[in-house]
Amino acid sequence: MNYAIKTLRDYVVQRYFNDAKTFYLLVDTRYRVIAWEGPGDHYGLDGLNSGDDLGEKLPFLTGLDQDTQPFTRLEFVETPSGAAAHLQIAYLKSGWGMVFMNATQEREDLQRHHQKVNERTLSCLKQESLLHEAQRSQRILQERVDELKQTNRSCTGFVEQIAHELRTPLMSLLDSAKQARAIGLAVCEQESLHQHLRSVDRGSNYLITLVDNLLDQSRIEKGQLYMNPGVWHLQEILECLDEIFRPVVGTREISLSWWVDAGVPEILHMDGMRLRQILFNLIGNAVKYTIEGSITVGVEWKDNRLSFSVADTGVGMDKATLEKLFQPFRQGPGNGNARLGAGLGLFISREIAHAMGGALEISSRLSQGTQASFHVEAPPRLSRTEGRTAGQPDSCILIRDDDESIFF
Amino acid sequence: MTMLARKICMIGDFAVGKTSLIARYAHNQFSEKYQASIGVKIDTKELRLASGDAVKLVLWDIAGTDELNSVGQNYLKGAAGYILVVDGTRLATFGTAISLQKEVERRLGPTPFTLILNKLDLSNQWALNADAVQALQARGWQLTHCSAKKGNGVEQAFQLLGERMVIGVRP
Repeated sequence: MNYAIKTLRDYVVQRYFNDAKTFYLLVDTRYRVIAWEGPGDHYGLDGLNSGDDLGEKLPFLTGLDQDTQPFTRLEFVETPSGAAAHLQIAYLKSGWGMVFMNATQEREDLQRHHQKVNERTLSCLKQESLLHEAQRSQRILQERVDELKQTNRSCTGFVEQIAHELRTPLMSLLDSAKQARAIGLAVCEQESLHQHLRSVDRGSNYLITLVDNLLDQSRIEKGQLYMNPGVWHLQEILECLDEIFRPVVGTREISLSWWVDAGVPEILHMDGMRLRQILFNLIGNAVKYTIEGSITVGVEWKDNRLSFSVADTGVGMDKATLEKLFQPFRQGPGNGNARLGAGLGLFISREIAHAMGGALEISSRLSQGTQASFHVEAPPRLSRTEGRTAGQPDSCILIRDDDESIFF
Repeated sequence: MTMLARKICMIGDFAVGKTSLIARYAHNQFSEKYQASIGVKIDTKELRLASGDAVKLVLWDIAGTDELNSVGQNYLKGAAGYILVVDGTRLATFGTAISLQKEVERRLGPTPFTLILNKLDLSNQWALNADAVQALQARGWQLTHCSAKKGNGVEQAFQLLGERMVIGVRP
């Protein structure tokens, strides 16, 4: 005999048949004992006597009298003792003949196997169900995100349209205020008139900045923030900013100082207007949040990279405020008397820095001041005659409008 | 006087709660631990009919399966009725029950049965389609929502089938 077959036979015989505990039982049609032989105690059928009623102990016989088959085999039937048996049942004219064969070990082995398989299947089904649930939630979430995006697009479009509508008359108002101030200076020396005109001028400038920020935010949302690089004198930009902020800091106990490294080229190729916009926002913030102390603007240039730092000794920020600082429409800390704006300046500045090939970051400590640092790509130009005139973009467009109120 | 005895088979996919339903009905017990059944375990329970008569129900808890082989068919011999069990949180067990009903009917002929939609306590995970359930009811199937864990509906389901078996109404 093949060795493997013999091993298998020995294993099966030893495990399942050596302990067969075969038990034979004859009962009449009313389940009363006629004869028996074998270890009935293993099946809970010990101490039998002829004529004993086994109706309660052998419930599996119920209904079998209606079966037309002479023999029935039932596997793994639990007997009164709890042991499992394979049963061969013969329907006789005088009653029933039964053979019990021990199947307890076999049932245990099978039970372990089925338990493992069924539990694994249930676990897979559970995971599948969770996966479906997660996919369903994700779908719902995505639909919600899409809805919100659509709403946001509609809002952005609306804001952009309103900003456009506001900008034209505001520019006209600003220009008219400037002209009125110029004429007023020539024909009238009354100080109150000049104060009124200066107030109109400041208010108009503030509104124009606000509207421009809203328009930039819309462009960023739509991915349409385009740069317009040209040839620029950095010094002119810095002087322009100094002219704007010097009078403001002059009214407070604040010193505004500029430190420009000797290695910074005189003429650079970049979008000077956008660079000015970043610096205007950062210095504006420093002025806004500094009651007294100093504001220092530093400039360096290396490997075509123009770097700035704007450091103040103002109120500073805590970590929580700092983390949300670049979110659009989020205000910085109030200093009690400053106009806070729309909360777009830093968001736009960072996006512009990115668009100019750089980055912007801010560090701050509460009550100890803030430092904003950024850099942009700005290759040098050797002279004014290379390419275009300094302070001019690479290209320009002609704007024509029938409304004479927009000429300024 | 010998009490009338009737054999009832519990049929359904694995882990739908057949053993738990019998444990609840016959012994008012429930175990959270799942234990796979092998072969058949038989319990009895006396049922008092609306007529006042008593009948002994011989309850065959048959190991879960999605189809009946020749051995499984032997367990059905002499059944006066059967209970199809569905796990309400597993849609596939509903299809299995419908398919098993056809096999059982082919084997036993027209026989009273009822269908239990078990695990009602997990109604938040219910997976059965209400339309499909209603379609079976429209075909005359008697359905009962049950929870072997909580006990809801269990007594009623067995009572219902017991009455039908004795008066010979199907399904």
